[in-house]
Amino acid sequence: MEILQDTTKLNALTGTLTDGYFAKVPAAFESRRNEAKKALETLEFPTTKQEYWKYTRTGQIANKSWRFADNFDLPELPISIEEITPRMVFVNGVYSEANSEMEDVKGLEISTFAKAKQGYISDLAPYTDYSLSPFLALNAALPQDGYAIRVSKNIALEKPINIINVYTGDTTISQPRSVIYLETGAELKITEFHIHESENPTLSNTALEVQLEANSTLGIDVIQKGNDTSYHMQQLDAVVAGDANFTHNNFTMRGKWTRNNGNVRLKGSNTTANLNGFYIPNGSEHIDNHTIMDHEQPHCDSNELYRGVMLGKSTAVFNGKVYVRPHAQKTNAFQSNGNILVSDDATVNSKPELEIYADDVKCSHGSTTGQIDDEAIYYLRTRGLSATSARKMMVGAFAADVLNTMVNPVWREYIEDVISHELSKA
Amino acid sequence: MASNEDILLKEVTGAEYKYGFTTNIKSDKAPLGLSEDIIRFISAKKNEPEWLLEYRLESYKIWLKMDEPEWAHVKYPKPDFQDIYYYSAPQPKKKLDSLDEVDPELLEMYKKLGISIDEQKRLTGVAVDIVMDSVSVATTFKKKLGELGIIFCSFSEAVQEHPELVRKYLGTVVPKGDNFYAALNSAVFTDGSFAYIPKGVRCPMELSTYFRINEAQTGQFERTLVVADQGSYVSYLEGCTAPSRDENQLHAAVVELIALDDAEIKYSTVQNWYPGNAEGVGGVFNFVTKRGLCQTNSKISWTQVETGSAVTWKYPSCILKGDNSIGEFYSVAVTNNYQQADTGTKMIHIGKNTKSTIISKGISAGQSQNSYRGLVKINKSAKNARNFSQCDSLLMSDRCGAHTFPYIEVGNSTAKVEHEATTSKIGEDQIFYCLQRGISEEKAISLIVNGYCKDVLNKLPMEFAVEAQKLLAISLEGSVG
Amino acid sequence: MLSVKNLHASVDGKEILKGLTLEVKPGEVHAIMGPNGSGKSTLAAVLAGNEDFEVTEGSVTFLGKDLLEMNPDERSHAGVFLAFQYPVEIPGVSNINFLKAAINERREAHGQDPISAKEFLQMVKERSKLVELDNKLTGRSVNEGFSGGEKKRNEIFQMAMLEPKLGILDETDSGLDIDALRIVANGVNKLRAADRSFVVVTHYQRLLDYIIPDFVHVLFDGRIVKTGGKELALKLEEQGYDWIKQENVPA
Repeated sequence: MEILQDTTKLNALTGTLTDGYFAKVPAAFESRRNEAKKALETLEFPTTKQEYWKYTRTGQIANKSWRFADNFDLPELPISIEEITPRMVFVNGVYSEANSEMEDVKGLEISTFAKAKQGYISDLAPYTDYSLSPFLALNAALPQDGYAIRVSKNIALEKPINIINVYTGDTTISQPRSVIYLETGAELKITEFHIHESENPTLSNTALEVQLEANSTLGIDVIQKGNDTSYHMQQLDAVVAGDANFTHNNFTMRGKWTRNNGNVRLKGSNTTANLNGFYIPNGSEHIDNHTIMDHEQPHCDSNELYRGVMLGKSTAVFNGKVYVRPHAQKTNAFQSNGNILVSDDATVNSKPELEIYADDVKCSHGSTTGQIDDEAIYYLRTRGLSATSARKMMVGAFAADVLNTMVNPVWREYIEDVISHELSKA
Repeated sequence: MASNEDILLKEVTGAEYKYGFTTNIKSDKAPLGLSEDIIRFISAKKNEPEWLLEYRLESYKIWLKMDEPEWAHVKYPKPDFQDIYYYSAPQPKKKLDSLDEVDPELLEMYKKLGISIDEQKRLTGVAVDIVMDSVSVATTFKKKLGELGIIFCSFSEAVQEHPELVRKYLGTVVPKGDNFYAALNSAVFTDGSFAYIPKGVRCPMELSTYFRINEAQTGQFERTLVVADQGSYVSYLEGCTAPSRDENQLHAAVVELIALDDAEIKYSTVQNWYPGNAEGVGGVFNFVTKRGLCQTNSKISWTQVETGSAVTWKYPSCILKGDNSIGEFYSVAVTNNYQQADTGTKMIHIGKNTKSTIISKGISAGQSQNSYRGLVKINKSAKNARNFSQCDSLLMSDRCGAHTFPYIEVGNSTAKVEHEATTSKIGEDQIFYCLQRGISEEKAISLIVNGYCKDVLNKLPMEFAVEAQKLLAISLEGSVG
Repeated sequence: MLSVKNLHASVDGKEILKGLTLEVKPGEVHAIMGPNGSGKSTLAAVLAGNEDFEVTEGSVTFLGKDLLEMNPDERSHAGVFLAFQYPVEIPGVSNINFLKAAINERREAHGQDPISAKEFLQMVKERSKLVELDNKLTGRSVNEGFSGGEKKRNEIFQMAMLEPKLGILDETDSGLDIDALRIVANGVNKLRAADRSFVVVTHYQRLLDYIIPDFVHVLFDGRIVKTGGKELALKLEEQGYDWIKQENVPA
């Protein structure tokens, strides 16, 4: 069993690696895998001295001896997945064919990452620098399995595809790696559901690469259901061509430590990109959303809306960077981060950044942190609502703006139930 | 109000740096470079008490172990700290009793700068403590202030005359090792200003200091300490211009403000140091640490108009320690040509019911880079803390950059923190509207820019506001298109 | 005074004015009417020198000078005033300072000394009465937070202050209730003079009940297709523009 030692170096895991188990990556990915391995030789766990990690400590991850799982049985889940179709199920990073249910659709090429056809895999260029996020290098060096989707030109898939990742075991690390490639005019909706089902530490270190060709449309909802012992490191890299639309929503329903990196490159003009997120951490949980919206071309719109409800002694971080390159004129970029502090002990660190090198742009960001309006609660109570119901109603309205952006509303009820449950405890 | 802009409109002429001339006054300077010996030389030269020498030497030791900060969004060649004169004082003639005794050349220089220490100024009620290079050479209104128990003098003089006050407060807001440049300043500061307002006294006039970098290769290490005792009030003006020179000049000042219970300090700065020429050659490096400490029910208000310097690194801050204390930051930062500015504020909320307001207006032209960097930190103890921040950027060319890096850290659930930022271009429709009314493009821009900055300019004392408007217009001339 | 000959103008490559000809003599009031999209506002913008519009053919002479050769501010100094359909807001710049700047630049262009504060304030006081503009509004930022009616009155007030030779009113009546319309029109009427002409661009005949025009022109598809007296406006009000369209079906 490979073990990630108590060390600042990340390559401990690769040191004892036998390629046998991990040999299944597509051949086209091999060179990138080797690059990542090389990068790991010098990379260390990030520290808070690095601006990109200023508010998020990685010590809790660095000091554990992570191993890859050897049990890939699907545990009992709090939701019934049978009715959720089509779906691909992964347990501890490995595809579970028995639990998956896929259907043939014209124009859709879908497989596991390991079995992906070569073509587009090699075209996908790495975008995020490994020095910024060494976890990404770790994933690229030792990728397990994930999904690979390609949608043909002008094919619009109606039914959202569901990807279910389950994490179990003790001190297990899982490294799903996935790709999505949309040809010109294609349309696709994805829901990724990540659930940690273990009382012991589990770490999911995921990577998703997305490439949208002209005029295509992609929507992704990621629902992350963590627990008191879960660690979730998520990396999204998207390259969006002209006239395309990209939406990515993160719903972080707890988790001891969660870090979501979302980097979007607006490579063509007249593209629209939306990154949204909702989080409701409790206890001593830590949730960090980091985004980079890189406007390279004129006439693009980007929107970011991140909202959080802070319970217990939790900490939330939002760092959104909007980057407008010199000739990206007529850019419209909006960014908003709102937080409600329900508990006295919660902390919010918000850093919405604008870095602008073009002159004819409209960019704005807003960040608000406050509490539920006492007067509104009082008003609701005079109308007969209990304090908890009143609070739920107010939080529900606050969350609704993000939930309304969901690509696949089938999951909305699940999220609302979790929110309600968390608030009842508070 | 009308007359401000009137004057502005009349006086907008000549885009070149107006204040680029050199004054010939004999200097008394230390040998080139920095060492313990130089520090001892400075301290001896100034006849300082032993504790202050110790303070300097400790700071120097701390500084030696520190690295120059690199996180700011600015690029510049690192200064060679051994190629700087750390002490230079104009030759003192003798103690001055009246303005007639002041070096006429010096007075002429102030006239060119538009600084008048003549009767007119007296009538407007401004006491001026002029810092020429590093040593204070003229102080007016001292007697009048003295009657109220207000101390307003050069820092060196305060060390001699009021050592107990200086010792009590020096380094209490900006500690020796606070940052690289603050440590350097703590080791080698030559002079600056000191003000103390006694309990319950409302200072009847604006206290004013004009800084000026004059001697070639003279680093400026000003030290300013303003203490407002319980229930007192003071408004302090700082104006800065430097003559045109090819070599970059380093300026690393430290300003400490202390507002005791129920006191209020208003600190206004107009900074117009040499920004370098249109090709980005020369100009002042301005690395300043300014911070105020607020005790219960007190208030500190920073207002700055920054149009000069090649590189600016400056974050006037407030530590809101006392309950109900208030911190304010109003800033206009203009960058043109190749100027770089990374400026903003830190509002640290510790006490209950503390409030802070941040209004920052950035204007970028030419190929300049203009960044707002600010921290709003609400500590766990800061119940009911409130912050409102508004950071606007105005872009005037397609080669410049405007950036916003706000850090918001909230650790108390009763806090309310709001941050808004916008980035926009001067509207073509606004310019056309002005043109149609017969207002030329340059003047239209000047009007629009002054309108955009109004919320900040309004916070400046009257005469400063006029100067600031002139500076804005001069800084932005020829920057359209 | 103003002579427009065979004017062609386009915006973003699309031709809006297609050979417009118009003669305005001193003291005359010309109303320009026409259906939406006929080019009324384009004419106003082109006369004022808005660079979004490109003049591709034709000439405009104003008091013997080639208007098209002049910058917008030079046109203003020469005596052209445009009352905007959508007056622009300029945050932070007070009306009064704005006007003072405008007046003094004009005086400078004519080799005159700046206006004295006393004279200026006197002028503001008198002329704001013309359009019943509240004194408070003159101290506020240009058009910021003004109601629609206040903005239009402010335009006429500015015109009174700048004393142009030619006033162009671009749909100044649009969106005004009858009281506001009366105030605006009265203001204009008081400014009528033997050496001052007006081009009144409007969509509604209503305004012309108050500002009696000497001529009414119908603009259609970028050209003036009909000219008459004020009775033409009444006919348009009663019968609409359909009959004009039928008479001018593109051949």
